Amino acid sequence: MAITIRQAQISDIQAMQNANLNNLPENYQLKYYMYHILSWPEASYVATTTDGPEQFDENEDVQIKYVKDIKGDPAYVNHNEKIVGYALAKMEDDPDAEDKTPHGHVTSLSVMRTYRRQGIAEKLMRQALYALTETFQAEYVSLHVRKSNRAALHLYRDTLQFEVLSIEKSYYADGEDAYSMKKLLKLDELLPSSFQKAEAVDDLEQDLLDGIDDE
Amino acid sequence: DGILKKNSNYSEGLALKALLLHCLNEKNESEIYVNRAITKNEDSPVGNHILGILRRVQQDYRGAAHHFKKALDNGSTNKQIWRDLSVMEVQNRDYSSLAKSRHAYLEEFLGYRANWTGLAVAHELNNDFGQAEKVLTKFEELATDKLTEAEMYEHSELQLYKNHIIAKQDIERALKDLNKLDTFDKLDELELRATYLMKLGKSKEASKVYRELLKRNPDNIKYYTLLEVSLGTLNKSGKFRDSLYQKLAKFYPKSDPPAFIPLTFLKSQDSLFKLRVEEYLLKNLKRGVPATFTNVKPLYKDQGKISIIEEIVLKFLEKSSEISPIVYVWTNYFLSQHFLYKGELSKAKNHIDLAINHTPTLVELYILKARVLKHYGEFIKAAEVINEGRLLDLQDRFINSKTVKYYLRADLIDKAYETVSIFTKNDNSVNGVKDLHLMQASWFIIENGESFARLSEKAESLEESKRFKGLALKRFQAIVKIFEEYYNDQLDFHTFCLRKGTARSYIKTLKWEDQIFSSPVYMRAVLGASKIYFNKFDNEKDQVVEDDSVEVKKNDKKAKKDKIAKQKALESERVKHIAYTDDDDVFGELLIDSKTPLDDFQNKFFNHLLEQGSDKIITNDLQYNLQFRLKKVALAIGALGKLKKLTNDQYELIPAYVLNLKNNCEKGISSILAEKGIEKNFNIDFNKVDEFIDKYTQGDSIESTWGLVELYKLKLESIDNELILSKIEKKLTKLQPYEVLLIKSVL
Repeated sequence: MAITIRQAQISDIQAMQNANLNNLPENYQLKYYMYHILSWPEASYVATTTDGPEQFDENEDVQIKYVKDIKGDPAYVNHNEKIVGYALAKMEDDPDAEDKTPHGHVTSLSVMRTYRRQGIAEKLMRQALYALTETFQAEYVSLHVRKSNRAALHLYRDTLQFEVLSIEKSYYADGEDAYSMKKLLKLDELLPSSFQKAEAVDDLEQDLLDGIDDE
Repeated sequence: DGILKKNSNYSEGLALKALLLHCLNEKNESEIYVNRAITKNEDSPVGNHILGILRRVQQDYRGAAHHFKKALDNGSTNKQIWRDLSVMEVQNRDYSSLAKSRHAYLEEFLGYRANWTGLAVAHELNNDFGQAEKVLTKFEELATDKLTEAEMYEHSELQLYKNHIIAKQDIERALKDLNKLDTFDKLDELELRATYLMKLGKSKEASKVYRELLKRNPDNIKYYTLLEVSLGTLNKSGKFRDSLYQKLAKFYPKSDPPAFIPLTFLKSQDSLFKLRVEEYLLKNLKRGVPATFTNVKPLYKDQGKISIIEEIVLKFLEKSSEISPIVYVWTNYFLSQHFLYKGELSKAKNHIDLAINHTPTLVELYILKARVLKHYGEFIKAAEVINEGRLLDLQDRFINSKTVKYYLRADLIDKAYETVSIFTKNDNSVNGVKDLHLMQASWFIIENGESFARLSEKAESLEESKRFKGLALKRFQAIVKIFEEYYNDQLDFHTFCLRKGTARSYIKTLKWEDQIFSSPVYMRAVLGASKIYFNKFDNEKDQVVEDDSVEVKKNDKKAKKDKIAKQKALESERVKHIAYTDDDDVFGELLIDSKTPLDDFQNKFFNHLLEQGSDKIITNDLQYNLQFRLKKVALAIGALGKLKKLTNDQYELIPAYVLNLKNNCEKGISSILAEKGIEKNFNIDFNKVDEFIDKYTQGDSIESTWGLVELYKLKLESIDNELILSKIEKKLTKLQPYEVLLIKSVL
């Protein structure tokens, strides 16, 4: 099915951990995901898809014998719903951090390779940035990117308008350098749907069914 | 020790010594002191406090609660124990006691909001919403105008928490309360408002809220459905609804749902469907979206839609290379998945080969080709192909993980270890197996375990087979361990969340932990373990226990030499498979040497699932298989009844299980019990057993074939096994090659 972007909840974290282990070299135990969801429940987002045909029962052409148990794959969070990407975000909570202005941090972001080129990472980020700003009053957000990760650099710098602050030498365990990046956050510039280059905007006033006739 | 020497009679001193001994790893000694402390004075408040701490360290939370309670009942002056007790009670899900303890703790320390929150949460968990609300309101009153800037997030969270609790009692009042709120969590505010309005029948107002939600997140498919519910358009014509989505697509052109949803409700006969699905497919294919097929796969339950999609994409293929060579590649990639879904393997292979020959540098193509080969049952070749893909992008862990999975499916353990270790932290280890356990990589561990289980079937000697079985159990047990960690992870949050105010998420967390052991991977581990334990039980039950220490003649030098060589080889094997830093049973010998396989299966694997996942099919299937072996006929029947209910009386294995029970029960009470139970649950005429069997095993699915295979394997005298076999063989012609291989391997 179409990709859905929604707020991450506790029942997603096993599948988020699984996506992270499949995609990235920096991994965390489940408790760290719990810590995110229970400290900043509004900040993280997931992308899910349903991959089986059983979801839509509107056309009852096929009778399903019975509902089977969820597939034994850690990516699944529901029957046919599986997590294909996530943005794990937090507020800076290190008491030793130099900068005391409230600011967010993106701990980890990834999208399964076979689901790329649909703008999922961008959409996940836009939701997370909006939530960090609206709910936690973050004034800016920071993150690190592997120097060799050109796709991520493109997303953050060109699409999401982050600026490169510095290069941190051997930031990663394997010795690779990281770009340290940052973006200032202003709520009224961040509404996710405003980045669609739409020809019309829903003013919430007009009658949506106006001009639509039934037969 | 000093105190004990002076007066060895202090119960407190004895308890403290028990705790110390435990921390020094002297487990047995420690228990001796526990007993002595209790014998000396079982009511000592301090002694009980210490023993409570000891039990908590040992993760015996019921024991800890018992002692903390006892300390308080006997007049302990340390009021912090109320908090320790309440943490144990919530961990034990003893919610009625929890409310009392949280209340007592609050009385002692009124000045902290966390304590008020703690009591409210306890009331809610105890289903006393009125009390929960009262406690939250009381604090709000006390704190009016006294909150600092730093406390505003917590306040915001708790206001919404209170609103949730009001809604459980009275929606109208909840809406009124919500209208007064101005919290930081606008998303929840909007979602709640929309829900309340819908429930109160104000759908027009609700539709506005859903539109507002769409503006915030036009990629959440749920909002579109709910918008339609609120607009009352779900039963309008396809054309009408399509026009609505055309409008929404103008607002949100980059979002998938408004383009996709019409494909689900438009009928395949409707010319509009063809138009829309063509727009959708071509847009995706032209953009080179690898998941185009996955996106439309939900439509594939409709044969009419499948044909239309096939027609469109085949036609598009012809002109696709004119648009751009890469579009031609992605279109073939789509068609390969399409034919794979339909079970037309040679066409699937043809299209993916066309794509790879055209552009041999796209990683995704190799993943698909490997999948096609897997369906042919060519597991080793599949692994080799996906590895070619991996070599194209050594930086990408996704393709690395996929390759490892294929190596494991092909039972090439060494290759899998070698490949997976490229991305793991391998300090002090020869490979990444230890790191993967530490990082709770359940996908790898379960595949590894299943691979060992397969290898044990293929093994050349009994000894080798046993070693693989042990390793398989070792991995399945590692999954249990991971889930026990997941369950214990909640402990710190019982206090933490009350301080943060994140009560809404906290409550969801508790409910989530209450079914953590019915997670998909956990079920897989239990299933894997069951096969080994049941098999062991079945093979051993008729055998007299033999003396397994076959004497090696002392002067037989050759045998001795062989043994040393073997041990050396085994040592290098051992190093490879180490899962934990202190692992004294790398090969899982302690597990596989079990003298009580059924007990071990229950205690080490199954009980968690039975407790938390009784509504799962697999749980009841295993329960039947277990109880049948334990000769507990009533429980076995109970499991069958539950299976019947869960599967609309269509579970493919029911004939095998019912007939097995009927024919293989011991004469006497249990056979009468079995017959009565079968009669009560299943409408079966034993003169027409074939009809009974056919009822559950019609169709060409692997499941129905499996139902017959399990029945055939029983070799019951009362049924026509040749007929069953011929039915199986007929079904095999309809299955995919890899499914045929799977079934033939057990026949």
